[in-house]
Amino acid sequence: MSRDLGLENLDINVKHLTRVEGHGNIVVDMKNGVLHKAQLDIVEAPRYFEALLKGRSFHEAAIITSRICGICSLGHQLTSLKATEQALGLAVTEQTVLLRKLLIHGATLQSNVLHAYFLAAPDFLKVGSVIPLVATHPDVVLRALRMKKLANDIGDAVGGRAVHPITCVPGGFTHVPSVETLRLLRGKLVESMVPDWLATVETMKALAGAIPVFERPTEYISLRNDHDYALYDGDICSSDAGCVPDSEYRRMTNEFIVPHSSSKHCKVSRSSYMVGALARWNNNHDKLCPEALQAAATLGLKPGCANPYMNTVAQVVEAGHCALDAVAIIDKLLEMGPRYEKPNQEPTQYGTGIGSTEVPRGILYHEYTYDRQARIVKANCIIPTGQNLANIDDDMKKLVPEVVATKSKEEITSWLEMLVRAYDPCISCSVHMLDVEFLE
Amino acid sequence: MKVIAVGNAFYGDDGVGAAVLAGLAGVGREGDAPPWELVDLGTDALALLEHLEPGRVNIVVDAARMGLEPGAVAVFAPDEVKVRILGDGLSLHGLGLAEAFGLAQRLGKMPAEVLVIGVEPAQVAVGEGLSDAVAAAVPRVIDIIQAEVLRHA
Repeated sequence: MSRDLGLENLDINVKHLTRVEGHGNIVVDMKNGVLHKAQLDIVEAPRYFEALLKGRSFHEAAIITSRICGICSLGHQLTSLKATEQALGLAVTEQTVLLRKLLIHGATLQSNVLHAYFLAAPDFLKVGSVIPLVATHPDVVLRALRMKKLANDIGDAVGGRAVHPITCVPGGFTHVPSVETLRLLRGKLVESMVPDWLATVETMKALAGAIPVFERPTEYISLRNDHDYALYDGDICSSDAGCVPDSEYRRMTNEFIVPHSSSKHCKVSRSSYMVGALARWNNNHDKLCPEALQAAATLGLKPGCANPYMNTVAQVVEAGHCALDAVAIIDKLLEMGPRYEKPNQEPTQYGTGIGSTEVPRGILYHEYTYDRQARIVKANCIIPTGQNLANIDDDMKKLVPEVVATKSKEEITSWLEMLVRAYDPCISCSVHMLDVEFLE
Repeated sequence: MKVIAVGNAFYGDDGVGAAVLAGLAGVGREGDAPPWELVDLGTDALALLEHLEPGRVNIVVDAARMGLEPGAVAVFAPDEVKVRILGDGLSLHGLGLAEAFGLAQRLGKMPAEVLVIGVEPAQVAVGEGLSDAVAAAVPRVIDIIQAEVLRHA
């Protein structure tokens, strides 16, 4: 048995170097069996873009916010459009809503698949990154890349291009996919994406033994509505406090400042709450398609799940729902007959609007106030990772004392890293810089 | 030839790739077919795997911390440097160009002709527009790409 086991003192300090200087660090300080500190320090946060929005016209807001982050671009864009449309009184058509839901499915699929395969799987297989898996599990890596590509194709077909969609504008779409494009996309989803997803469920099942066993019930907050598995719209729903309209988002986030994080923390009914795939599962599992529910049963994901590590499993379950519901949406669009509709860009009012959308990591809120020239005078954005930070800290504070007697420092560190990773935090939106060292 | 830009145009000098593409789009005589295909990956560096094309010259333009003066331009093949994987492993944002090259190599998808043009940034922070030093580097990068076109003509 390792000498580290059962230590009264534990000092963990994981500095996560990224392409740019320090973002998130895991800090644990335990002395004489008393836990003084277990937290995720955030030294930089993507909260500066509200200033970028000031003075911008309503045409620009969604373009700017979608550029904040490559991974979350679609979520920012749609949330921004919804806030603008509400502020300016721009109604959108049923076809627009269906196309947007299709885009969200593509983005959620892509993000969930990448997270499960590229971030979580290396942990479960105890390798440092996805790269060694090319040698040991080439079919799995190729499957992941195939799924990512096809999820991108949804974005290309509907959005004009996947990463920063260009056809999706305030009041509608500047271009609508043709019947042929929709049929092609449908074929790829049915013939490639769905079988690949079923294989993913099997892969996840094989890895499930590596998911840490840890439970901490918390408040789960997600959107919820009567008509579908809420991703595009709904009321803000708390597992503790019930549902309220999104006009009450400030009360349902309640941002506050803590010394160890430059990103604000959030709490509602308890000291923290969780958003993201596991929160959506806990609140809305009854709205998932039967195939996704079957996958959940296969993977041992149950309603009321209090293990944050199971967020990855919830993402896999959700990915299947997104793929299959995308097929259903395409069928509906084909039945309606896709047609060009001029985007509705004639404001009927100038005021404040709120957009709330379930993006892969949880609820994203944008709130804008427009002046009479349809320019933004005030903007507020609350991102999912900010909402999860207090919950991550609370998880760590419960986890460390539970495992300190039975695990080595290295194991505890690994579990803490996996915990943070399970939330797939968007600590600082991406700056894709290369760090280069020339070989001598 | 394929010119692929990676980076976020709303993060200061990280937008250098996009600026180079905008410059290239304006080069050449009207009516002539351009000698390059331009691809802007934005921040989805992993999509590089879908865009690297065997049988063509692939040029990737990105901001790169090389320990040089701001605005310095360096041209190298991916195997001439150690691209340090400094991804935090915590989020998808850690998946960048380094991982994309690593995967391409191991999957046998790395074309023979890949050149990376790195531009040393002066500032990388939320905000539009390039620093003076990096803005001055954009025409130099365009010159290098045009010279590559001539070399392969």
